[in-house]
Amino acid sequence: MSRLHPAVGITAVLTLAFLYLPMLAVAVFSVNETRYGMSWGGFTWKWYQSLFNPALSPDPKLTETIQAAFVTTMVLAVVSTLVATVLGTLLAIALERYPWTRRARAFLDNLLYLPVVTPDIILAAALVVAFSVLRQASSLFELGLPAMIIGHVTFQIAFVALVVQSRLKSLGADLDEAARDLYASYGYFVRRVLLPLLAPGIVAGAMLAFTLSLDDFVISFFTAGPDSQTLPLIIYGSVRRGVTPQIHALSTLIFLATVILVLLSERLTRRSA
Amino acid sequence: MAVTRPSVNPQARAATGTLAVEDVVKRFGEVTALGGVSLEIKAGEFFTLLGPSGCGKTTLLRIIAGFELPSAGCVRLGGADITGMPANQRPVNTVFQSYALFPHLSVFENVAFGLRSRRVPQAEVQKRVEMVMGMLQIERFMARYPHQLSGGQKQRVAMARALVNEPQVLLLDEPMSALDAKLRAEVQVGLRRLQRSLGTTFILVTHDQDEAMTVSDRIAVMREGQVIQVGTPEEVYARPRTCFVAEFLGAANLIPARREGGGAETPLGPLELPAPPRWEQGNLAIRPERVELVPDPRGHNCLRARVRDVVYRGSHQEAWLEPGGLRVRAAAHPALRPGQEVVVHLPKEALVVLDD
Repeated sequence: MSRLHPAVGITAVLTLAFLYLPMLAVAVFSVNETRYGMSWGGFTWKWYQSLFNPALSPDPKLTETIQAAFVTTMVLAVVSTLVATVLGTLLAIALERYPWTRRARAFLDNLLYLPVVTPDIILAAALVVAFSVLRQASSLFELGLPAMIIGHVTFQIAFVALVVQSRLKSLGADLDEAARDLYASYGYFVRRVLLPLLAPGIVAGAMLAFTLSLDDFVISFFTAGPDSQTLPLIIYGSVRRGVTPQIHALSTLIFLATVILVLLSERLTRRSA
Repeated sequence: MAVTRPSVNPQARAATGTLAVEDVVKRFGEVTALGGVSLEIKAGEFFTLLGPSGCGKTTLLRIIAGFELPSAGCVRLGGADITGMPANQRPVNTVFQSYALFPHLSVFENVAFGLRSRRVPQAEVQKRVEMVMGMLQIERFMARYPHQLSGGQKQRVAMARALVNEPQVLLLDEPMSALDAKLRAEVQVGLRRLQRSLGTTFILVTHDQDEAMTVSDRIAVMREGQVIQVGTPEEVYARPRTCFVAEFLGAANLIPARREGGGAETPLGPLELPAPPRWEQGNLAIRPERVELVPDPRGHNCLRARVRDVVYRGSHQEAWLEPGGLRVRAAAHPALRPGQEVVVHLPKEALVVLDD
């Protein structure tokens, strides 16, 4: 048995409090009757209700903006996740199963890992430059939803690929050979063996990608057009105008959605491991 | 592994072609894994590729399976060149060292995999899978998943999964390395019996000389990408051609020698040989169990020695003698003692003149 020094325990508790107190404060203010200031005016769900019903909102225009942003956020998250999941899975299979030389493999692994550690702001600035060049070829690259989707896909792919790749590593290449030995075409092998076994990894990667898209601010901020506001962008904008309890309610909901997705995705990867 | 039924489908068991490996070379970058290997494996033969790790035996098996393309040379089955034929089209199946069972499929579906990927009708799948599972006595595990099986059970499922396809050649890549010693001996005998009753060509890769001797019709001893010697277990054991083969298959006394007329001059004294050596200087081999302890020196090839160490092995005893470190295997009684003076006889016919 290892014993914990009390100081270590206390520090740990304080650290956790430090991590979660701000979020807790937001959650508390989201059910606070008082509209302005920091005083407690009693419990209410009305800020949550007002998110869904402009008629109940003290600021109907804000509610409408939030609702439009919700749609944009979901479209962005769903589409970019689907694209990134397909591309990321294919990328992982190619990186893991092609007989690369050891040096090429190490290089490619780093290449895959780099976007994960690159600061978002750098990636965002790079995207802006790339889009301004590409815009001369196609209007697809005008700032707005399509550009945001492309932007999100670029950072999601690496995360999907890393999750799927670790699953592929744990499966080993024997099964590929066994299927080939048993007369399976590549398509049959993919349908009957590879996809069923990779499924937990693919779903976990997709959930991670979805969460990242949902929470993304920096990339969206740089690539958004005038009518493509996402929830994080709305929250950012409203902070400058003064945060209302409605924004607190919105933040709390986004936080909860993220928590659920992360828990689900962790559960999937753990069970399949 | 017990066999209850002689054959999956007797009609399909008609003798198939010879598997010929012709001058196969395999290079991985700078490394040459196979340096020009030629073998002819007859239909219905139990053939073993035996050698230490890194000798190229697994690479050769993978070339026959179609997982690797040789850098040069070709593989023929029944006269037809199959060198470039994709693995999923060869009438050859493999039992993998790791077994490589599909973890998400039941035992039944694992065994049925090869039939399903060739779209064999369901009724026939059912019939053939049940037959082969009966043969290997794994019907009880039909609905289980691989992670619910013991090592021995997994091995049998892997065998069934390959055999259900009625391959012309079954490749076995160290299929017993994951089993404990006691089970292994049992499985070896079962494997031999199964192969006899099926009449399918089996090619086994192993580094275990006991296993090779137990199961094989013929053994190819490999080293550093070359086949050193091919022969029946008796031939490679009793008449090894090189020091390596002599030492790899069981214990051997190697005696350096110089040619002296039709015999040899050795550190143990002059020895008469069954045939005059072709070299001026080389090696002789004699198995410890062929060295005789005799009451007194009479005739040729006898010498006086002293016991240096003795190990009691239950069924016999093993002694190391001086001079020369000669190893002797003798009956357990009477017990030898270290320091004891003995007279040994190296029978002329038991001495093997090695090529090197």
